[in-house]
Amino acid sequence: MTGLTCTSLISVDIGTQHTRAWLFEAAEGVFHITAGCKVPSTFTGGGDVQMGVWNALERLQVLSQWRIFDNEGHIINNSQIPGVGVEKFAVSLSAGAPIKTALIGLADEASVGSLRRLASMFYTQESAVLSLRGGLDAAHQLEVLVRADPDLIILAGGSDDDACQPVIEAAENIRLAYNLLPRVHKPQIVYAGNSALTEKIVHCLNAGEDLHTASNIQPEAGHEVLEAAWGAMLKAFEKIRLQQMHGLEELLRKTGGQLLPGSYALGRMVKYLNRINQNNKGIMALDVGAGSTTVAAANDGKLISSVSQTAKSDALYEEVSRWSTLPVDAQTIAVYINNKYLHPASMPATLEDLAIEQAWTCINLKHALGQTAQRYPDFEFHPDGGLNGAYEPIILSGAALINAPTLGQALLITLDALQPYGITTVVLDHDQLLPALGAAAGIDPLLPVQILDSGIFLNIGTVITVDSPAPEGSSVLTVEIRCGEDPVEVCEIYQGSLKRFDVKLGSQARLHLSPAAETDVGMGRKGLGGWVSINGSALGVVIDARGRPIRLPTAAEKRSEMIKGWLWELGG
Amino acid sequence: MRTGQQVEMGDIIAEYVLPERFMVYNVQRGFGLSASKAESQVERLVGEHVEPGDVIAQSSGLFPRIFRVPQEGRVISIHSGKVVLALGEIKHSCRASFPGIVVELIPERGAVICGQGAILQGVWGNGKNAQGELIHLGEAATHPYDQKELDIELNGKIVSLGSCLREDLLTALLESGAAGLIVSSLAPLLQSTGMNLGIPLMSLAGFGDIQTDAYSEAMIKEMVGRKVFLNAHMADPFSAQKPEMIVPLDKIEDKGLFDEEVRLRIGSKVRLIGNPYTGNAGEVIELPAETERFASGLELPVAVVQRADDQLVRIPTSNLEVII
Repeated sequence: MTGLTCTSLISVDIGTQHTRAWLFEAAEGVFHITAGCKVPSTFTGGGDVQMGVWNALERLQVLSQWRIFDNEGHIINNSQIPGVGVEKFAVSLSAGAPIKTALIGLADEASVGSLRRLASMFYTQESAVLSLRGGLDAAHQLEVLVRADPDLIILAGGSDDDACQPVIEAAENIRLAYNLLPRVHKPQIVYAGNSALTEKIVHCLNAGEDLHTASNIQPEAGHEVLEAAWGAMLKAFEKIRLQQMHGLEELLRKTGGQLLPGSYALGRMVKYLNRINQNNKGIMALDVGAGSTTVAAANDGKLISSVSQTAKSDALYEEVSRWSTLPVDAQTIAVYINNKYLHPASMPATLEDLAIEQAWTCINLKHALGQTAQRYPDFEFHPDGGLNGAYEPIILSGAALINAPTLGQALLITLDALQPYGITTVVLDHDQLLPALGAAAGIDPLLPVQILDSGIFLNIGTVITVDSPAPEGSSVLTVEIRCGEDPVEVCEIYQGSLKRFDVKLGSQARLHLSPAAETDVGMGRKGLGGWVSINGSALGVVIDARGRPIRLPTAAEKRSEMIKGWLWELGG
Repeated sequence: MRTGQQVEMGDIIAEYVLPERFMVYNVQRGFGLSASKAESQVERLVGEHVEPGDVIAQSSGLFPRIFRVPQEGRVISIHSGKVVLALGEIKHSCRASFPGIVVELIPERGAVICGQGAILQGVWGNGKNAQGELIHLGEAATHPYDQKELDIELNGKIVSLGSCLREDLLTALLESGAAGLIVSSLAPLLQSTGMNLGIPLMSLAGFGDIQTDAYSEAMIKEMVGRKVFLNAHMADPFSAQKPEMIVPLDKIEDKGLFDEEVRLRIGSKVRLIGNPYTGNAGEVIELPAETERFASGLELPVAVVQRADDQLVRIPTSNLEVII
């Protein structure tokens, strides 16, 4: 008896640009990856989402020599013959426009804040936010709701001890809006407020299967349990996407697959990794996709998950211009970004376009972290200061980072956006496997455990941040590096610099850090140094003494030279 | 609207009405009654049409209180001692943007209208539509912008021109009475001005200073003087919707009702996207099996394209748009 729920499983991740599929096979009680592939998605342009998945499965069949389709082109769902048929199917989905969502809570700070955190995990876009104690009368609330024309309405408010007449009144308004909106597909409604009111709300709304109830996400004042509403949100998400995406319903029917939002699946994996992580730090995954950026971070078992988009603006173009490796003016950047919105699949063919694309990725990442910090006040990121929270490893994913021509570029984009403190490791999920594993985990929790053991990430490098008030050019740290039989290397680190040391993949190194009196290298307090063990990685050890926040020269040419210098240090 | 119906441009395909505003009468609080007693004072039923001055509820006694309707509407709810009225109405219409026959009704989306003619797609539009005679001013009118070039009769016409990089050019064209504008490209900063322009505006190649590609220019020149329909839909990457100019033609080569699958193949006519070939067009003459490293350092699938000037260029396949 293996303890596994199945012996073969296919997990498909449908993104805006690409659909990825993996076949996992269990042999002697252990899952391994038999094959994986990536094909263009077929959802954009009003296409059938199934076609992309079918193309991926056909490719998977060829690569794995595993028979997935019968002679009539149907998926073989179950088979006793080895190498034939698939027992289980999981689907994660990050494609599609953000879901237009109305948030209705009792008070701004408490319930609306919780609702924002809950909704941001499911790729939503706020089309209306109503705080029932916000002063709007019932007629205006109804007007706002009808004008917003949401696909999803989330209502919460009141701890389980509260008397919540305003919530009942809001439900009455939702009922009216629900009936008034001229839609074939009515909005989905999630109720995650005072549990004592659930029955009344169900009766009042009378929305049948369009209503999804959950336990209170704030059972007591100041105590938030977002997980309580995940089940209801998943049901609502599935219903909305089935209505919006041509072919998705048929796909799930034919495969028997379970559908999860890609961001939710990623969050599930990050939470799991945090549970098995032994270093007393959190885990963070960053996925910079074609239309959105997902930040998933877990610390002490608590998950922070948020999907963000960066709006086009003059300020954005200026900011991208500042972080470009080539001196490019804001107007050229505006042209590039606006055209990229029109042709999201296009790729930079010139150096200038690449410089813009990467600077834009950096800013998207920075904004996504900033928005996450706004939604989660305990997420320690400050747009002007950097990432204070301790996370190791930081997992990078998404086309913008994976497609960077060199790992040094991917690392520099990440460091410039995050500006982390202390010591951390940056790894790359180069096959973008995490969402697929997260979706598969819902079917067999052992699968991701066993696959992660097989080493699916590429270790880019270990980053040691030097935080010092010393003036530019002063010595802030002495590093002694012992790497196998190699001679001991001693190096002085100066304020404002970025320095890299090779520690080859498969080898190990020990570093002795001796910081200056006012310098913090993440060992517990200023001036404290000591030995650090480092595993080999693609780029080795990077010591970032550029200061926090990183200050760039005003002149474009000088700025570009400085960034190019850093990139050069990281291997170009 | 039904399938098989003939429609003209501007005909309403679908319409829905939303209330202009809502009004909530709290009868319970107003009359100082229990909820059930308050509801018994209401003199109307849910769904009932009401006129200005109609009485919704009134109390008896020495000083009776009366709730009257201020505006035409209907009662949408009587619940918990409250009456909710939907007042006034705002009509939202979906109109046919070119003449043809309705072949399919799509719930929540509209209808598929089938017509015969030629189509020129752009990549950005401001969401408006119009019809008129096509006139082509070309690049000369905009490069550099010269007011004299616009001193011809543009009133009621769909005007095609080169790139539009200045706001005063848009203003001048609007003042000339043009019914709609087709530009080869638009300055990004003019996007919001373009969105608020009272007439349809379509950009063929996107943003920046991009010339009209050879194929589009040839088609435009061929259609000059004809009546065209400009549907400057806002492009939506999640649907097939793109802005377009439609030229109804009586006789065209019958390609069937539905488009063939658009695939990049040798012989495909393509528009080139992204630097350094933005705005060029050509024909694919080779699709190498191997990926190729570009100046950016990215290794990508490649196509060899013969441009209109016979030059061969190598370009990532992701940066090609197939012209049907």
